[in-house]
Amino acid sequence: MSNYKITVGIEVHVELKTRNKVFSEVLNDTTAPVNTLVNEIDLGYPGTLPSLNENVINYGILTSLALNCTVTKHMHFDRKNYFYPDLPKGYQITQLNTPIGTNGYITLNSGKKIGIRELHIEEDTAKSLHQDNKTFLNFNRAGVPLLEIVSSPDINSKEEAGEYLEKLKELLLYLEVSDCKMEEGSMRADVNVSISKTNDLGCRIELKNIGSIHEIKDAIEQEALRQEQILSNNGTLKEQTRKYDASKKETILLRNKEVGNDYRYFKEPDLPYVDITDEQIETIRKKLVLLPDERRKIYLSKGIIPINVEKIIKNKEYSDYLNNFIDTDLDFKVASNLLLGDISSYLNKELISFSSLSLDKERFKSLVDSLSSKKISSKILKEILSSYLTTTDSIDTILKSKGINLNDNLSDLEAIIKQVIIDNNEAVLDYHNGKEKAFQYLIGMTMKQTKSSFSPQAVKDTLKKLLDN
Amino acid sequence: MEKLTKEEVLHVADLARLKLDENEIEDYAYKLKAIMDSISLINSIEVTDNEMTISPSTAKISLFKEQENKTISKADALKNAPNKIDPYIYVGGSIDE
Repeated sequence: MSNYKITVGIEVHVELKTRNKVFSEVLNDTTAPVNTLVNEIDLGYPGTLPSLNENVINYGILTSLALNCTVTKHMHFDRKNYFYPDLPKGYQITQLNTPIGTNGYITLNSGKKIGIRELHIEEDTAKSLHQDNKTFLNFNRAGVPLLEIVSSPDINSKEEAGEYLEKLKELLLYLEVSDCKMEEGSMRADVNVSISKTNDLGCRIELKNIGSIHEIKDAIEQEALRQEQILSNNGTLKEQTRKYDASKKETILLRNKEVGNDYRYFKEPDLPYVDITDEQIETIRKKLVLLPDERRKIYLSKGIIPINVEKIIKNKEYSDYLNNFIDTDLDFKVASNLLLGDISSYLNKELISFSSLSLDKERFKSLVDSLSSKKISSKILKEILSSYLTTTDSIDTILKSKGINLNDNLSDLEAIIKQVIIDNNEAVLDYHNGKEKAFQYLIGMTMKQTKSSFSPQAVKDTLKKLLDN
Repeated sequence: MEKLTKEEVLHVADLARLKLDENEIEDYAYKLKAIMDSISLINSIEVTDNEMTISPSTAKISLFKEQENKTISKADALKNAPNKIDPYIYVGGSIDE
């Protein structure tokens, strides 16, 4: 894209994980057997009236606050009218004029802010299955609460689009308002792409039904290229809705755009105004968890290496657990290595979750402290971890029961090291010539001779003392 | 008597997914114009100083707390559907995405 600037705006729909649907007191579970979680309201029967799920409003306020939005205190719902089999009452209840949140932003790693124009509540439609020239309808999804999050056209590359979506998804997962599974449709993104050589926006093309963030990035690239080819050949672009064929790496026309007011919006008369108080907002603000970017800063400041910071952020259970120790002197670097290394391996091997371990905080700290102070080596950790995680025994008790002696008789250690020095003359010479690897080698040889019965710190200190004397 | 253009009638019919014959198009051209004139009359009322009213009722919204599962049985859900293959309701024709 040499001469053209890409502009992208993204509309994300996420299904909320509330217990009930938004306008009917039916369970919200799209995985239930087909058409078993529906009632007359979800089916759009004449004469039925919607009521509003309080928790959907609470989730909307929480998400608005996390996205730095202003919460609309006096709001109503609107009807978006269109005929389609997945919407039997002929209109979708949504928020056109008074979205619950407005004027927010997400900050990218570069510091650039991507505006959130608005965030509104609406109902999902039935799920359609097209087969043999028929459309089969599952109304379990009808009335599932959705938040639509609309970005400003502030995104100028496929990379920014990907990062925006990753950050939004991460934030919604941390707020626990949605499970954000794009592959199952609980998070869906429509992407508007235009290109221009000036600061004016070009013709907007909407890309729909893209299955993953990776494919969205590809689709933006291919669509921008398509538009550039047309404009370079003096062609003109028309507002369209297109889809992305990942196998062919091209966007395909679905339809030319209908005019906006074809939806004939009007106010939803069946739902009175919703008024949100400052007290409500402040009560919900107190429930805001430490958000991912704030956690990143804390973890980096506590010495966790960047790659492990990202791994911890991806695993909310680990991150939440580590946050119990923010105000303690826990060695976060060692703790993160322990969680991501030996504890993760143990969980994978046993096919259990971290939460099912119910790992006592004092015990975890004690284990980390023992590793951090080098009282035990990583080799000994492997030998005792399973027992430590499944019993309430102390480290010393487990060591004793396994016949592992942490020898503290330094004269024994000195005798062994003196022999190691005699047997590894070449490495000793390398050490004195400044080769750090030689020192590590000699530590290894000593640990081998001692069968790891001395603490790694004692080996290191004694070896250094004897080599330098 | 004024009427809508044929294109305007067909546009409205298309939004409602209705197929109209020539007589119906002519008929609706007058009927829809009458409806639009009535709406125009309402739209012409000066209301800038009035708070928007979304309902004739002044009742406060009643929010429900999450606990119930007021579902109906699948049999009842499918009961009134003209086309069904258990557990689905279906409609004919191919539908765009």
